[in-house]
Amino acid sequence: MTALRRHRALTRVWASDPGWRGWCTTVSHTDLGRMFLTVAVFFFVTGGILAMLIRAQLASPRSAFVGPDVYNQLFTMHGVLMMFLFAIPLFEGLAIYLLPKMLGTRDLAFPRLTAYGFWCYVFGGAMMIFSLLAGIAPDSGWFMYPPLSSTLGAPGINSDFWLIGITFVEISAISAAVELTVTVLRYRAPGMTLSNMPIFAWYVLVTAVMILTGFPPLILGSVLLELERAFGMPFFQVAQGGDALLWQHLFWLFGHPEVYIIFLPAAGAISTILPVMARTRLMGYGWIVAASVSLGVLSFGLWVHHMFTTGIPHMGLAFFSAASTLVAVPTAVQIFAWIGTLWRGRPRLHLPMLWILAFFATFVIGGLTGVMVAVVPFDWQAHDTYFIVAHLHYVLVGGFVFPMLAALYYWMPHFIGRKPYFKLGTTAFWLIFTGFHGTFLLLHVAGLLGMRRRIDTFEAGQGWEVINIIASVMSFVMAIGFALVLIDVILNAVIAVRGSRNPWRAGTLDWAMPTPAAAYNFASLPHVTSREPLWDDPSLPAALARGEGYLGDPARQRRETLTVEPATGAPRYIVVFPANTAFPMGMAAITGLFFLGLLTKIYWLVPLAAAGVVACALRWAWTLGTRRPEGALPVGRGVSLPTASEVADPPGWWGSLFLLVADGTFYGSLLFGYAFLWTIAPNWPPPAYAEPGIWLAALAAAGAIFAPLGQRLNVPAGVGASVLGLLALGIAAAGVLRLAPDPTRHAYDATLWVLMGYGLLHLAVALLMTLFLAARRRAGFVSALAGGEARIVRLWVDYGTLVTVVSGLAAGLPGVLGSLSVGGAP
Amino acid sequence: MLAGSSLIFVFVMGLIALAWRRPPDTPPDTTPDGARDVGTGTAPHGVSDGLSDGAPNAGSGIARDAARRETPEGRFVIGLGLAFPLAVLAALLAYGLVVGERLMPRAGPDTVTVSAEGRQWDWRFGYADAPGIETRDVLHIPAATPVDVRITTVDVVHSFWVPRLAGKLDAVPGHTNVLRIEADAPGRYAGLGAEYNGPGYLGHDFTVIAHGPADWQAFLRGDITEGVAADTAKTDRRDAEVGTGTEAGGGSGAQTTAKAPSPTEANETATPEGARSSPSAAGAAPGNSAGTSPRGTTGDAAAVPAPAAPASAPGSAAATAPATGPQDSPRQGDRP
Repeated sequence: MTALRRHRALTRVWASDPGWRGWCTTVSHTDLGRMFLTVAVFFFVTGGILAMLIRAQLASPRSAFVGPDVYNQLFTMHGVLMMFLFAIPLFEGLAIYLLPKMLGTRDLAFPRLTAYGFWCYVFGGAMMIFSLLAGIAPDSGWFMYPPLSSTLGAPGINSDFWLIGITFVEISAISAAVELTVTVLRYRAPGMTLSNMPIFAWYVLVTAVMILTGFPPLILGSVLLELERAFGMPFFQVAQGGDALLWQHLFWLFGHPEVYIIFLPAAGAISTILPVMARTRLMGYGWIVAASVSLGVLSFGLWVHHMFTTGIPHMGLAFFSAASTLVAVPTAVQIFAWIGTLWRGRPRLHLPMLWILAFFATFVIGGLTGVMVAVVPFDWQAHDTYFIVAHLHYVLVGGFVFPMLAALYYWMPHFIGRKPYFKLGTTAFWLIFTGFHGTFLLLHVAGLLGMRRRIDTFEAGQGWEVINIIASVMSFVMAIGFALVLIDVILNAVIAVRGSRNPWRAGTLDWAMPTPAAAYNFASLPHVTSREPLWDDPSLPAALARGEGYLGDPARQRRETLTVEPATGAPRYIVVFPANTAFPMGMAAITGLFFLGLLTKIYWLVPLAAAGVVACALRWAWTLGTRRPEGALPVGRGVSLPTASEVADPPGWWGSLFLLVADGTFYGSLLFGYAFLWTIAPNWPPPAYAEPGIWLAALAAAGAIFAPLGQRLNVPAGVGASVLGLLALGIAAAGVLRLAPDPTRHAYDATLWVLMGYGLLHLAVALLMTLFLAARRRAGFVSALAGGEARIVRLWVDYGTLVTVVSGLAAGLPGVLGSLSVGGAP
Repeated sequence: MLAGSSLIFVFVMGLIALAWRRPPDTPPDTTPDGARDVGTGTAPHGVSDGLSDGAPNAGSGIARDAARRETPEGRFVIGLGLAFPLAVLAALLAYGLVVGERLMPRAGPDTVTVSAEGRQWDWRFGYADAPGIETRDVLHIPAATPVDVRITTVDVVHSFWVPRLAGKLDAVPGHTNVLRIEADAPGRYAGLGAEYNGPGYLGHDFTVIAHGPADWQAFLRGDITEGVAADTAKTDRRDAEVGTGTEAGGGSGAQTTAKAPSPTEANETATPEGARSSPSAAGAAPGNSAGTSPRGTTGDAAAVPAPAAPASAPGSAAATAPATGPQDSPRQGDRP
């Protein structure tokens, strides 16, 4: 078979549908990555327009351009769009597009999940844009402190758009994080050990795990605040045992890791691009991996530095101040490793390198001002002034936007398959770079002169006028620069000539394919033994095109790729991917109805939509796998492997595992919130604690034994035992709810409802999965009979059992303690 | 702090610029560290280098240059990346903690307690020494005396900030935070609400008036009535501001005279002593502390959060401080 015939055969199997239908039905990571990037850029432009309106308003004192009500929406939505709808999705898009290509595989672990996440992002983002156009956008600041954002300060629908829209969008962040994690761990080219992964994959892994553990506190906070707003459950209302500080803790527990979730992918791009630009290898690969991992860990220990002015005890301040300064160390390790790489190599001053230099200049300043505000006495003055505004823009634009522009120009030949012809990029670089520093450098001074952030205008005569007019003018210079970049990309995509393969002479596998990339990525999968396979063997792309790697034979007429052992990279089993389908888009639309029902308070729609989502999910899982055992199949190079249906740890198990990591973090945050309210909030204890009796405890104990045990009995009766156990647990949980009949009475009662509701939800999921598995066994699916699916279900049953028991204990603990102390003190 | 930051910045940028240096005497292809030839001309797809945005077409020889220099990993990663920031940060952190410790309020016999209650969008102040008096948007304090401000809110989160007297401290529903302020000399000091709190945020400001001993006693007797609650002029002013969004300054009637100077004006008109509680001084730059007046550095910008317990009295806040005598107050300690 010639390379061309192989290409045609593989394309028939892998290609997306033609035309606009292809956008709706595609599950290809290449298409979806591009779509993610495009939509993220759209939101960047929208957020940028808002920024221009803000600078127009602040250009002169006493400006009457917009009033405070409009201005408050402008700065709130600028932050929301840039953080939630631009930065995170842009990372997701870049990782979705690049990761399989860099790892030498054909797609991400769960192609339909990619598409589902994308459509959730689009529909949720559309909600936010609608609120903006309708003039009812959130206006409480992007971090939405209650009570200002709750019913007291924001009785309108504005805050609901934030809480519901952003939660909807976060589905895409969580689903992308799950599949990126599984992809890095399992979907690599055979032979690629963890230590031979491209450095970008390490960064993606760390970032994805941080999303799994960083976003759940935010989602929890949004759920709680929406419950307060919609149903009066007083989590943040101090009179009824809530505490506004709980929101601040939950928000910044997300918000600080978020900064590193944004920075790390950019650092990954730099670590990839900079050595190529310097024509050498990355210095200190191991150190950089260690630095990124420790950044990920440390970033969870310093959220309180956003709350230095809220009255944190002195010891707490010292601890978090130390942690905040310490986090600069791994950043410094990376920066000096990059500089060392430049020293070792012979750098070229191409456009991506220019952007990396802009990153250095900008990010170092942002980092230094960051260390300043980590010093508590300084922060007490600088907090909530334009010093902070300038600092965060230096960090986020310098640490994310500039590296992403480097990435854009580095991978543009890959994205569009053209050889850049127009040279607008250099002009745009200078406009953006000078425009940025012209805008923000002097705003540091405005902050030190006492200019508070978020004021909608200011009085003349305070020394701020010159700074603000300069900032406004330069911000428009920057905006023109960004417009030029867009024009540059569009012109090149439309007009320029076809480019050559690997124009930068990079060593990673993403350049071992023709550009634009074929639908199947690699005609056959390489066997990788080093970090830069293209430098070892420059003829590798041709060999792969000739089918000399794995899975080069398209005879089975379906989308296949390989998975490997996580650490060693030894090939393990074949995964068969689903074909094109509009199903994910439909499911995202139904999910959107669920959120729309909540938003507009049309509550009859909510259970209907939820049932629709469940039905979709069941159908989604039902179509996986086959009823005909295949045994080991040849994959080329003399190796034979089974398919995922016939192994004990199918991709679904890994996906479930990491989804449960996020779910468990959500639950852990809930327990943290409960403990926080119990110990810190004023107006505790509540009027009465729930005191579950001995019968409820016994029922729950019986359920907790039988539900997991039944899963482990390999007899038909096991299913029955498990189902009965789950039902017993559910009845016990409902019984606890009856002890606190009014969730609006006190934060304790409200928390108890959320705890038990969480347990009941997971019991319902476990029950459905148990019955579903039994049905699939009866229908004769190989994967159900082989044990892989049983392990997935067991995971969820165990988790549901655990959280229900813990919830019951947590809800009942204060009551039991109370009755003990009453009983013990006659 | 600014000087140190600038030095580090220049150092890093210099290092990067030096990476472009071209040692003339290093022959290619001698480096043992194995930096590979990136793209030899033998590759079947090997085409000319570069994407036409500026680099000379260096052809297949470019990559060999990559191997020309051996740069020890340890010097950059361990020396500059690890040891250098650790040393700088440890020094900075220690300094910050020492300053923070000195800013702790100490219990003293002459401490005056006032209360500040934030709301949308004004401030109400009460006085422990004169329980009948409530002022709006004007806080009276005695000069040259430590004052504990008990900060609360009746609605949303606010933040109490008098830039020249102390840092910010938030007003959180259900909690009482205690901030220690002290004005060296009688005069007017601008105060601001510094946490975004809705459409009236811009005008959420107040004035602190520090009195000499005689005036302070006069205020406590009720003889000075500026800002006393019966005066409702501020309410009108606020409504005007919310309406137009531009009316930040003095509005009607009696309040015109009470309009606070903005923080900047305050800073500009401040005496040299006043400048030392500007943010940069409070940020405790090593150079600054040595250079300020001998009467003290940041001691007058005493600020401390109380433990987040709802009922923390000033006394209990001070009790969390190390047990030191009243004469140990940093300001007094620094005085010659």
